[in-house]
Amino acid sequence: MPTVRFADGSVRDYPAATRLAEVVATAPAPQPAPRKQSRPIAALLDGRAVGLDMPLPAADTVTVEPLFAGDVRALPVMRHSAAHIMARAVMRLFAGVELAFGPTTGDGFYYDMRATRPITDDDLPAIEEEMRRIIAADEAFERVEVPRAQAVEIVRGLNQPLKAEHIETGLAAHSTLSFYRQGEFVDLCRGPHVASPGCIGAFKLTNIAGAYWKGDANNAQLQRLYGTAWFTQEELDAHLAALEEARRRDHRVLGKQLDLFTTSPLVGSGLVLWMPKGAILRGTLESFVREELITPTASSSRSP
Amino acid sequence: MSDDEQYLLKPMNCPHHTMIYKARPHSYKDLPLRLAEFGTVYRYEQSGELGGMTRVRGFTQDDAHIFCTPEQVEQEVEGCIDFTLKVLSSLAFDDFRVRLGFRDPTSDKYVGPPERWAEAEAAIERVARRMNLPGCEPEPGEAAFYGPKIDFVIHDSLGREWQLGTVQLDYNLPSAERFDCEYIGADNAKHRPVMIHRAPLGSLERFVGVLIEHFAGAFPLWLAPEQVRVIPVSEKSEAYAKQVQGRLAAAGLRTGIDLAAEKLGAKIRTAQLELIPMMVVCGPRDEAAGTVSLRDRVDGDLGAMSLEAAVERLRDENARRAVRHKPKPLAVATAPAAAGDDY
Repeated sequence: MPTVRFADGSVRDYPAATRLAEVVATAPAPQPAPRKQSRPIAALLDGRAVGLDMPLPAADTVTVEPLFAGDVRALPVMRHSAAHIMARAVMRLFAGVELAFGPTTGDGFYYDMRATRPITDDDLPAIEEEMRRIIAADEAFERVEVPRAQAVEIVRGLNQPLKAEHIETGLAAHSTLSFYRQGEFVDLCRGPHVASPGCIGAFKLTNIAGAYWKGDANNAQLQRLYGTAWFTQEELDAHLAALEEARRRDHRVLGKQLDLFTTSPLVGSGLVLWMPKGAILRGTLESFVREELITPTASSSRSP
Repeated sequence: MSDDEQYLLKPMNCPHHTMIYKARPHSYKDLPLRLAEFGTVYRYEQSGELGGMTRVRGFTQDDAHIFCTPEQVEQEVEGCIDFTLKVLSSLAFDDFRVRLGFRDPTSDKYVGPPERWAEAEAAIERVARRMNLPGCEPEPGEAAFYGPKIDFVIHDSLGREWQLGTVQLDYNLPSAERFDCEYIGADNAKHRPVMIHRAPLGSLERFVGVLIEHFAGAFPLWLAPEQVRVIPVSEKSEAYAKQVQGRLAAAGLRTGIDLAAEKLGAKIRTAQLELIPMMVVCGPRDEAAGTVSLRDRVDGDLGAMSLEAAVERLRDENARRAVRHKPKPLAVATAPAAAGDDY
C-alpha cells in the first residue's frame, strides 16, 4: 500500500494505483490557501509535475503536493496544455495539418507543424478565437496508453507521418506510448496536462517562425507557432509590455536608428561595419580597457 | 596561394601570443608575463544563426594571455576577475552571474595533472566566494578539456543569457605535445608555465550589442558619441555658443551644436530624441554674465552657472565615467521550462 507524505508532514496510505485526483481531493488543505478557491489542476509527485490522472507509482513512500492555478510550478503544465489546444484549433481551421513537436518554453510554448497552405500572422486571431472556444468548453484531457505497434497505427490513422516517424525512430525504446484525447483531438503525448483547461487564464499567439523537422536543414520545412500563456490577464499584459520594451531596445533597431553600425550583404553576413558614432563608442570602450586596465598590468602585442 | 604555404584567417589569438612568448627564453622572474591585444578573429557560424552584433563571423576580442607559475594562478585569477568587475560596474551591469566551469571528477578526458586541476579549481572557488560573486556554485563537467574557467553571464533585454567575460585556465597549449612552453625556475630546472586566457568584455561586437540594449541607446555621458550639445536660444547667441563649444571641446568633451532655425523647445526635443546626455543652453543674458544653463536629458533643467563651473562639472563627470541614470532592467519573466521529455 503506497504511503503518501504531504507538505505539512502528515502521511496517509492509499490503495495501489489510486489516481492522484483522489489523493489530492483527500489531501490536507494547503497552507497558505491558494489565490482563488479552486480545485487542483496538477500535482507534484516527488517534486515532478504530473497530471491528476496519473496513478500512484508502486513505491513505498512518495510525496504529493497539489498544484493550483496561479502556482508558478504549474505553469509548464498549463502551457503544454495550451500548446495542445492551439494544435486542436489549427486542425479545426486548416486542412492537412501534420504535427511535429510542441514543447513548453520559458514563457509559453510552441508547436511545429505544416498545413496544406502556410499559416500567416493574419490567421493568428482566428486561431486564438478558436482556442478561447475550446478553453471555455473546459473538456478534460483523457490519457490513453497503448503498445508501440498500436501507437503507430493510431498516428497513421490520424494522418500524422511525422509522429509515426518519431515513434519508429526516436521512441524506439518505449514499449508503450501515451496519447491524450480532448474531444475530437488526439495527440501522441507524454503529458502531463492540466485537469481543467479552464485554468488557462490568458494567452496570446505571438509569432510564426520557420523550423526544420528534427532541426536538420535537409528535412521538411515546418512552421513554428509560438504562444505565451499565463494564469491571469495582468501577468500576460506585463509580459507583453516587457516584450514590447525589449523590441524597442533591440540593438539592431537602435543601432540603425542611432547610426551606430550597419551590415552589408556585399561585405558579407555576420560582419559588422562600425559607423562613425559606433566607432566612437567602441573606441571609448577600448581606451577605457587599455588605459585603466591593460597598461598598468600587461604588455601589448599586435598579431596578424 | 602560389607557394606551398597556406594562410588562414585566425579564429583565436592564443597561438600568436604563445609564439611571442617563445621568441625569447624566460626565467621565473619574468612571470607572470601578460600579453594583451584587441585581436580580430574569424569563425564560420551557420548563416541561419547570424544576427546583429551578437552572432557574427568576425569579431574583436579584448584578449590577453597570461603565462604564470602554478603558484601564481590564484592571484592572477583574482586580478582578472577584478578587472572584469571594474568593467561591469562602470557600465552599471549589476545583474550578472558567474559560471564556474569545473571538471567532471569521474572523467579522464582532461589534460594536465589532476592535482593541478584540484588546486586551480579550489583557487577559483576561493576567489569567487571571497569576492562574493553571484552564482558561484561550481558546475562539474562544464570545463573544457584543457582547464577550468569562470564565465561572466548577463541577461540581454529579451532575457537571453550571453556570456561576456571569461577567465580560462589552459594546461594544454603550453604542454609538450602542443606548443612546449617553458621557463627556468629558481632551481635552474625547466618548468612548464600555466596559461590563462582572459577577456573581460569577450567580443567587442557582442558587448556593444548588449550595451546598446542595456542602456536602450541612452548611454551615460562618458560613452555617448555626442556627449554635450550646445544650443543657442536664437541666432543672436550663435557666436557665444561656438565659444562655449570650443571650451567644452578643449576640456576633452565630444560636442555638437544646433544652429538650425528652430525654436528652443524643438531643439531640446531633438536632442532628447537623439539621446544626447547633456545640453548646454545659452542666450544673450548668459553671454553678458559668462554663464550657461545645463539641461540633463532625464532630469531636465539643472540651472544656470558660470561657464567655468559647467565645463568643470562635465569634464569631471566624463573623467569619473559616472553613470548617473542607471538603466531600468527589463523584467522578462521566465518560469522554469518543463524538464526535457522525448515526446
